[in-house]
Amino acid sequence: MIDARRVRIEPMAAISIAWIAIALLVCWIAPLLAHLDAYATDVAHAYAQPSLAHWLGTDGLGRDELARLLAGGRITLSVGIVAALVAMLIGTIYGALSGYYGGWFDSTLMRVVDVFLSVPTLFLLLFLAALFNGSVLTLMLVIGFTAWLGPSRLVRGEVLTLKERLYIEAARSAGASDPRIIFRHLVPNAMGTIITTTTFMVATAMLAETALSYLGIGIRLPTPSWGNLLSSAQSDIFARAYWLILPPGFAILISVCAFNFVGDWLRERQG
Amino acid sequence: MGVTLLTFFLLHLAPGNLAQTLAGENAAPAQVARITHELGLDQPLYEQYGVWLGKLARGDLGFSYRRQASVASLIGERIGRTLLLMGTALLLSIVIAVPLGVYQAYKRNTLFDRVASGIVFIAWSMPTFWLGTMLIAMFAVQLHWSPVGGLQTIDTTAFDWRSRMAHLILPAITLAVVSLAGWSRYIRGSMVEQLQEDYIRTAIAKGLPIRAVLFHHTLRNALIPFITVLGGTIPALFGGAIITEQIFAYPGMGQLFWQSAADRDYFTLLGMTVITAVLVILGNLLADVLYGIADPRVRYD
Amino acid sequence: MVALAAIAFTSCGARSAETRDPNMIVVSWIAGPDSFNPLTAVGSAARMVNQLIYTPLVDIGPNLLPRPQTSLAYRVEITDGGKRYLLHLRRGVLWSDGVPLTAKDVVFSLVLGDNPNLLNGYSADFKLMTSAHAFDPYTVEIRLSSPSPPFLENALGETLPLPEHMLHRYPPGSEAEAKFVNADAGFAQNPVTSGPWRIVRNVRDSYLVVGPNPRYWGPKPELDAIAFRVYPQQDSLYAAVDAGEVDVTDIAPNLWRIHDRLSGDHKFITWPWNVTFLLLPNYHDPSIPWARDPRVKQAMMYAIDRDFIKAGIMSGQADLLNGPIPSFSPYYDSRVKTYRYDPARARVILDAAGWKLQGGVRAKSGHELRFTLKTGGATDAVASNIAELIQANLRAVGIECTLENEELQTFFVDLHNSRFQVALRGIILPAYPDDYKWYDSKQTRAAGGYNIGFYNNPQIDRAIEAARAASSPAIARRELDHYQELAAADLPVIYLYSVRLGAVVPANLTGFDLDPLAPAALPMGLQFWHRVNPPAAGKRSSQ
Repeated sequence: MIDARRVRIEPMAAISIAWIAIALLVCWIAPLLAHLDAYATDVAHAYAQPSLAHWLGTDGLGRDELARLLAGGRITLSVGIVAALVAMLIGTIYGALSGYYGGWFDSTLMRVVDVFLSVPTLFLLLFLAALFNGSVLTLMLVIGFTAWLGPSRLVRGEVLTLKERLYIEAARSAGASDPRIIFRHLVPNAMGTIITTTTFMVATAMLAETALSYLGIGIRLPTPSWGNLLSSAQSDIFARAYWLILPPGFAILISVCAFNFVGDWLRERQG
Repeated sequence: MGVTLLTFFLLHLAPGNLAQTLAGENAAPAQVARITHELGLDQPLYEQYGVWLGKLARGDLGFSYRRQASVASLIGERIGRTLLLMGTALLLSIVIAVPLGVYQAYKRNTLFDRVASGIVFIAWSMPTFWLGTMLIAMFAVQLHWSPVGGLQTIDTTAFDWRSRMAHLILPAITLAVVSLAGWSRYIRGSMVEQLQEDYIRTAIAKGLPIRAVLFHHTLRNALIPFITVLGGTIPALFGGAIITEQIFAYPGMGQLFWQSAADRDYFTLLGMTVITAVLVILGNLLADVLYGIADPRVRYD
Repeated sequence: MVALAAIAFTSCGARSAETRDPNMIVVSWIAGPDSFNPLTAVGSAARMVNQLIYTPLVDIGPNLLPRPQTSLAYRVEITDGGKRYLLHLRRGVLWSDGVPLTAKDVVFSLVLGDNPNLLNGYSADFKLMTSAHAFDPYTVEIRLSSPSPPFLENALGETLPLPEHMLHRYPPGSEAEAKFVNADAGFAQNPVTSGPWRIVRNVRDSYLVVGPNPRYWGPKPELDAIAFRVYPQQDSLYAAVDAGEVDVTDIAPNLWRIHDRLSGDHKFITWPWNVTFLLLPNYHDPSIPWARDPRVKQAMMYAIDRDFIKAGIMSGQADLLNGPIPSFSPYYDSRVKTYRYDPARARVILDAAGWKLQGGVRAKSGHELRFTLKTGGATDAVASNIAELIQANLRAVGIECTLENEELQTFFVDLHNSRFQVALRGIILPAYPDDYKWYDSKQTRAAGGYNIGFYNNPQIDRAIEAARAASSPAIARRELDHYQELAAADLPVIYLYSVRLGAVVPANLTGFDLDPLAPAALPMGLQFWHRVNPPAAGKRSSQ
């Protein structure tokens, strides 16, 4: 699967991986080190410009913007990653089973996927998000739940091609049980596609969280997330509080970009 | 039909009640209860579904009490607008993405390819509402090159081409930027694959002009799967882009959906789902037909 | 390349767009009007337009007195101890289809408004009406079963007479009639009207243009036209004002302080509004026994920094609320006790009442001063900010509250089913301050009322009921004063503030009617708006 001639690391991919690692590290570790409270209000110092006391200034209620950015990063990144993992898990199992068994089982399963696909994603997201409260966990599940459709198709495709390979025939004639074949042989060989797709899913999930928070059904205030930081800052656009608008915007942009780069690099590597 | 069943039950699971919206914030709970009964919303779910299905069979999409108009008229007004917006955006993004993808594949791994990829990635990663608001701030407010939002000039209710186009520009660009990235990556990848094929290499070795090779052979073959992927975007074509329509005050299907969802206007939401589903099915059929035409190897008998 | 050319072409088109008539004003809306039938109109845009296109039966001014010069009934006589109303109607009023407007239309509208099966819940205000009939084509007599001061402002003041010849299809007051009216899209979208304005152009949810009604009986509006444009998103709305596309808009509190950064010549006007915010405890919830102790509630009134809510979060545009009746109302009793921000005093009161601090939270006989505060502000930054501030203030005196921010519809469902401990909510007050359905102990949800907090205080019950059945204005005022005094001490709710509205308008526009009872958050009196110095021709032309 991996073409040995192309293993040289692309600079953009390297930078992206570095960024992701740094972001993860900073968002989780830094607040422990530096006493940053994302919730303490200090109304007398609202809308303060960046200074030594507050590196990124304060928001409308005097909360430290840097602390909120990092706390928001924890939430957005974890939502993105977990949602992607949930999506891949469901999609992989669904697609693998569907592709392996084939026949009417396959058609029915894929028909169900089609039904869901004919509803525009955002519609589905809205239904589910408005249904359940805005806790981080339910959001992860909701986004994951709407995102598994695409991957399931891909995994199914992979399984279909792999199924015909000789070694599978060999395994089956050796008496291996179905689940064993699926999980020990087929899935690991589709791993390349799976990992690549997961990476792209993280990017999509993060953008989905942003969109939902903008519409008010994602992470709810006062819990910060990059999405709702950006949308509440947009209303402050006339306050010309650039320190509130730019950091979350760039954080989202660069992080999503980074995941996309890595995903693309992985796809190239697959040959 | 599965879609409608799914939608119906999902809708009624959500907390909140159409009657509440109609009665207003300050109405006594007893009033809300009375309206609920009046609208038949207190019947068991399967009965409600049956009633609705019956009406549908007679061609009646329902009446929106919240908006005091038939669902059919609401959808009829908006579907054309959304189609116009999404169509323009799709056209814009394809017109830019295809040549870009082709050229990138041709010049892969050169500086041009890398820079273009970089820009494309950034475009791919932008939240739509951020882009939309930035565009408004720059082009509408600062430069006055475009109106901030809306459908068309308020001077007339008749369809004014020029003014509609002017109002479409920014939202179409916003939508196009994001989808353009996806398309160009796809085309590039597809083209790269094609360029590796033996018969292409043979053609180049034989000395055929590059342009002919690129367009007549490679692109044709790369386009075939492209059409199927295009088919996957059909739901969006009719569903509209909720966030973009909100930001640009464009009264299309997306906005209707969002407001109806907030109001819990079940009748409108159901009607929209049905229409969208039907159109999606038609669209997919069309895509299948096109696929058959484009690829002579695939013909149904 | 093709795309760029297309962009260039159309942008030229936009630039040279039609110049706007300087005598037309553009007003913004968040959503378009749904129905032009006042009995099925839900949104504030529709209610606002209906005020423009119909003639009100009795036009109530900001001081809660009728204004004859804009009312259909130029004289209202109240006799028989408040049980008989005699309305004298103007002559020569025509519907837009030419039919004369007479007493039969008024009677029809009153009876229709009383129909309990209508979607719009106004019939409660007509409950005491026993009969309405036309003495002659220009006089209407209404009889009530008992005197009711709220009837004039809350029932008659809200009535917009509708054309009987268009809507009378079924027996008045019947279910069939209600069913018909509820779904009459024909009239709802193309009404027959009688007011100073008429609808010139309407594109649903996008824009609406009104122009002077040539058949109107009263003074012709000064402006040539008023256009309403819909911008669902706040940010885009402000961009539109900045770009000159919108002249008049309401503006959210957090942006008042910087409204002067908008380009163009604007001024900022503000006026009180009849929307009040308060914290409502659920008295039936056994886990918050402190709610029955007025001292705890008084302490909370002292503990919450409502001055900051006003100055900081609401940018100065809120009025502190000291009781059930806001200060702009003619029925407000200024002698009522006021609570200033004084956390030290709050602590003293709590200590004296036996609630001692134990590890940061006060407790007494095993119960802690702890509760969950529910709000409907998931999409509303201002409500969220206020909730957070309250949490911080209460924490400082030893009361611990957890915030639960819900989506609006979910919030209403929880409210109606009394699924909350304390809720932060807003109430739209009627013109006449009749709090019967809110706080009377008999008016629980089961009984058809709105006392979802199950508040129970016999003294307040008596005061409210006496005020609402008073046979003379003097008695009503006395009872209302008494009610306010009781409420300030027993605190059925924690009174926070009443909202002030703010609007950005062109600097040279005047004639606004700053009505606290406005249907939308916009100034009214559009009939009288006019420019003081019309702008010079050739000024920035924008679409």
